Amino acid sequence: MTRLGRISLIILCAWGTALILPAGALSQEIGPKPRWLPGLGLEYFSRTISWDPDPDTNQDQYTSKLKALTGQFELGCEIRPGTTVSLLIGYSLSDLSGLIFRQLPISIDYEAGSIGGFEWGAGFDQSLITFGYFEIKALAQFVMYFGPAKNFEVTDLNVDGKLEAQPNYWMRAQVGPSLVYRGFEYFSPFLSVAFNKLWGKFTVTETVGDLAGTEEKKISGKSVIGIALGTTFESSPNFSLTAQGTLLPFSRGANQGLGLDVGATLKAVISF
Amino acid sequence: MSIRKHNLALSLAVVFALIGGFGFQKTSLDPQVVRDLDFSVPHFQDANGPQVRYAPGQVIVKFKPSVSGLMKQSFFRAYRFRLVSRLAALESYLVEVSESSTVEGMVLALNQNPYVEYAEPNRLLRINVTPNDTQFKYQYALYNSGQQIGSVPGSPQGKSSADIKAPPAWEETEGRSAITIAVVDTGVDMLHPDLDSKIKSSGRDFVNNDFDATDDHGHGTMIAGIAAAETNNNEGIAGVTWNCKVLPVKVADESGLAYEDDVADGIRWAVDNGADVINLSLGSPEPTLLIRDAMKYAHDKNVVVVVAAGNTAGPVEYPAAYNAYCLAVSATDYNDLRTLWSSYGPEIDVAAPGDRILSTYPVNLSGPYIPYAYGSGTSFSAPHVAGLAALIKSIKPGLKVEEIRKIIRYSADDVNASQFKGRDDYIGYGRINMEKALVPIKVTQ
Repeated sequence: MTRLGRISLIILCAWGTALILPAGALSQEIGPKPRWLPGLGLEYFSRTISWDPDPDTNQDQYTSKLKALTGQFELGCEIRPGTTVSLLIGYSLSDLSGLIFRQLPISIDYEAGSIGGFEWGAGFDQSLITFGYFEIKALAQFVMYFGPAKNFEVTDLNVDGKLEAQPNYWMRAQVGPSLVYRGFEYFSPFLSVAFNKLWGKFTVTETVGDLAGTEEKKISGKSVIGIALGTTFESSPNFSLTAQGTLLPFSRGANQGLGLDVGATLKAVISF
Repeated sequence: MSIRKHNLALSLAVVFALIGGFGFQKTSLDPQVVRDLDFSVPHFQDANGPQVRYAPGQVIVKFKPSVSGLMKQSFFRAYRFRLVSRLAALESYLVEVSESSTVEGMVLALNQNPYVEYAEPNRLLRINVTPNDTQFKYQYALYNSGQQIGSVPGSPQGKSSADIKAPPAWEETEGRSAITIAVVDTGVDMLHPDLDSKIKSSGRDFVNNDFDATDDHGHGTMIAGIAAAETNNNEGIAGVTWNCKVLPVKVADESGLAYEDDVADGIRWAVDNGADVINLSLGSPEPTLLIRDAMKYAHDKNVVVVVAAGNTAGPVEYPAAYNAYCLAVSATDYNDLRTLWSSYGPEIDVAAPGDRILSTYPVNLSGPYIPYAYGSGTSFSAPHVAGLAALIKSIKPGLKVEEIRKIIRYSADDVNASQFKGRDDYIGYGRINMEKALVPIKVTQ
């Protein structure tokens, strides 16, 4: 089984376990029934990524952007009051333009835009403390995108050239606390701070005449902390709409100041 | 001549003639002229244009003078711009467009707006990698703007872009000092001011059987200068590679003749002493099996061998004809035309400029002239290719010799396509193009 397959299986098992354990407990004692929370979401983010670290210093040498626009279906399950696990699947347009592959026989500057691929992941939401109108929760989410290979022509050489670009995967893990204010009737604004790690791999295979080469590029998000501000609008007990903006600061390097990545999410959830 | 040499000659040794002295002439520049010309170092743009890039999400907007501050604020709000900075002296604003807009689309829209004088992306400019070497302006082979090649009245004028596109390639790499080009030739003037810091070691002299490969002819010093002269040092010429080192190997005597065994020994010695690329600007009409074997040795050790094809206007000479183990190079001129004296045949891999090439010349052989000279011949084409091979090795150290040879072939410009489309026997795959060989090709939708 591939590494990706193993990761997928682990997440699936963890999610299944989270659902099955409370269900088993329910069979022994009377308690509230799990509440299902299906929802649709749209997410966009732009993250500065680094690649090809200097082999001598391990410092970043090159950066570019990963931009992703994702439509998601999320199935959440409130397994007991205050604890929700969720599974999500989606389709993502991921744009890794700006990556440069210098170890191919003919160097390539990938500027070909988005490649659509599937995304899936899992989330966990646990209420920790409530005081007055405030609630502190712990949030965790893991998502993984894997894209198909896409073919391009390499022109302007004496022989025909082809390029197969495959964004093998990118993964994002985020975990952190969220402060929610519940003093309004319909709105629940929140502020979250999360450790936010992004990493992935992009492979390009080149064939120019009888020359061939493959280069794998490991990418890594520059920012590791995300600050999200948003609000949940609940027009009824069975419907909520959440909008969230995220800022992800990162260091541009010694004496070069801070950069800022951004993200935004819109999610509609019904419950029954 | 030693007894060994006599015996060798009697046993049908092949005598090699250097194949670059053809049309050879020293520069007629006097110091005063050079000093005057120091101020006219050309500043040029890459003729093919570097890849245009700009700051993501940023647009520069200049309003018409009639637009008030209040109107500008409304304007920013209407377009949902975030003001990054005001370029006060230029009455312009740098703004960040919303994530949902593209820079190109926004620039197009803004330029239609009656309040806007102009809008443009915040473009990323690159410094022009133009070396400050005083004689660079005469090196049409590296960058040809259509300039006059030489300061003497009546000097020929080149055709713009008939060059190997060195400046844009230097933006990608100037070469690594760990990469070594062996010049297996008449030796090298290791004290030449435009070469002294580029010499890896005092080399090996197979003519006098010692370890001082000083040039007593001039040819090898010219080869070394073309491939790897000190560059951007406010002096003399630029080399194809700025940082790679030169390993001098003397196999030809002061009259420019070399014995086959010395050449073969020189190749083997260069391979065993750290050469990554070997330049052989010598040849003979007779087959040279010993040199073929030495070239195979180099090839098997992953060393790129570049050989001048010859100046006979006839079949490719040996050892260039052993092109299973080398790149055989013919000559083009300042108009991107094949020179009529360049040897030709199915063995030709690529061509490079070889007519009226300016390079370093031994100080002690220069007499009253500055130590630079013009030369013509495929001898002077080959080091352009050797320099390119060294640059490729610098940034792609994992490539095999066969791959490097193919990159050089496939990236060449087929400059005689109107007569012979595709590979031909005169210039092979074409005149080398450093930019295509080194600068990443942009792949778009």
